[in-house]
Amino acid sequence: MAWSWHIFFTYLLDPTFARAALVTLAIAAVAQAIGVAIGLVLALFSLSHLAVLRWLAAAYIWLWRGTPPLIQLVLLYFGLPQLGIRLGVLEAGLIGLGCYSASYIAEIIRAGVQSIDAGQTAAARSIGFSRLGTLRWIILPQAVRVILPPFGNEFASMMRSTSLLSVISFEELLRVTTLAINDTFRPIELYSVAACYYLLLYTSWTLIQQRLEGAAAFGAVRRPQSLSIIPDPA
Amino acid sequence: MSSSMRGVIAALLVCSSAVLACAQDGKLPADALITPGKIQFAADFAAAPNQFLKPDGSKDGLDVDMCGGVAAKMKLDIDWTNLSFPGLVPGLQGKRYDALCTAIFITPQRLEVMNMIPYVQWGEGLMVPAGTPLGIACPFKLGDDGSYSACFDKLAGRTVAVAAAGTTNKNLKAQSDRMAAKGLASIDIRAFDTNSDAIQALESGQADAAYLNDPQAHFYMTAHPGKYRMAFENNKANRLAIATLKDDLPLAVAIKAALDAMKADGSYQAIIRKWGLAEVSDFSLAAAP
Repeated sequence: MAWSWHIFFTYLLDPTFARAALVTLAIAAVAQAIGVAIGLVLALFSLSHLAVLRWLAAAYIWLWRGTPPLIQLVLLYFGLPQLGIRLGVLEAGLIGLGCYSASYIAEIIRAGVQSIDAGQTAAARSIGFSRLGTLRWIILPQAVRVILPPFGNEFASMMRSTSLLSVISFEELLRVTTLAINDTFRPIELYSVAACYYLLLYTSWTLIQQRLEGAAAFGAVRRPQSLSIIPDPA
Repeated sequence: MSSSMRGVIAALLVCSSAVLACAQDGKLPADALITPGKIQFAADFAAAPNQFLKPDGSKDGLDVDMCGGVAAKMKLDIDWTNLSFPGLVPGLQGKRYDALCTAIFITPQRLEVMNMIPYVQWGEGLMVPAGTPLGIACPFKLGDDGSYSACFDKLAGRTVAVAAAGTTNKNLKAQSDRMAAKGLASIDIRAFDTNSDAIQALESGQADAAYLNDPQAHFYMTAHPGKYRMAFENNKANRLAIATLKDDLPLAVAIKAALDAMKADGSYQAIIRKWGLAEVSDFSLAAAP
């Protein structure tokens, strides 16, 4: 079973694989959006003065961080119907990955907000910002710089986590690969093709993340690059 | 012999000069096994009744009995690797174990990479909840694969669970494609890692039916009487095989000799009866031309 470049390139250029990679990317993006939405609420709960909200957030994070996402997906897809809730495979997948990711995003946002000096809040409150306004206009824009790098790691991890969806019969990149191996018995070449696609997704995201971090570092105002005599921060 | 097997010559392999390593006395050459004195089999233990883990963790099933018998006849210790079905052939190619003794059908593609020794046969069938009319009164004839088309046509637009890496998935997809070409709605195929997961999808109402190997369906229905029935069965009746890598022909020949010895002393027939399956007439190695 010597390595075959022919098989490798045939499948690398196979539209089925390219489509599966796009599906994987779309699933990761939507699941991550769900994760950010829930994670932001959880972070606000964690930072709340109300003990019950803090307790709720802690309980959620304990549950979703403390169990493997594979078990979460299986319980959502196979288990919930016993309670009369029947999720489709896509719904179960997005909710599962989204809720799992939210438990990490919540901690990332909470740590980011807590990293901003308390004096910033005191100053904002003293000139009349509301609690929410302080968060929206003063704290979060600064916290974003702290939040972005671990958030980027979280999304990179999400792109790989989508492979878990094959367990509940969703046809993403890994399942398409498995089925092709089932036809050809060329696991090394085909897993290499899948690895190339995962690397392509990861590299694209890394480039986007660098741009985002660059933008956050400068604040919201973009100065024309050609006039800048200050080198970009590394 | 079904049409899918055309071009496959099942021939009793005789030790010849082409098979240099094959000793005349049936003894294994020194390098035939990864670990001398021990034969290492791999199987997916999520496939009752072929092989499964009992609640106490011990291994049981048709293949545990059959390959245990083979190892005893070869006077070898036995070792099992439990691996999810999609990983079985890659693991064999990576020389992680000596042979596969799992529910694996003989197909032309598999014969390209493996020597396959047929030892038992069965077909595929559709398991449906007992109360549903799905698949009732479809006029299939045992042994006539074409007569099953009408059975599959009734599944247009329905959700059917199946194990991803098996021939069941391929055959179901072929039927679905045939129906789509005819203008019918295709079957919504949900492919899972194992038969257990496919049955679980049916249990939890995520699928209308499960397309399984007959013995697996029967094993489950025996354990849960009254819940399910077979809408049809014995489609694509095919033989299962113990498999070694192409290069490990001497080992395949030795395994076949062990099966012959088991048939001669009646232990083979006893195992087949115990698990309620069909014998094969002989254990000729199916060799790709």
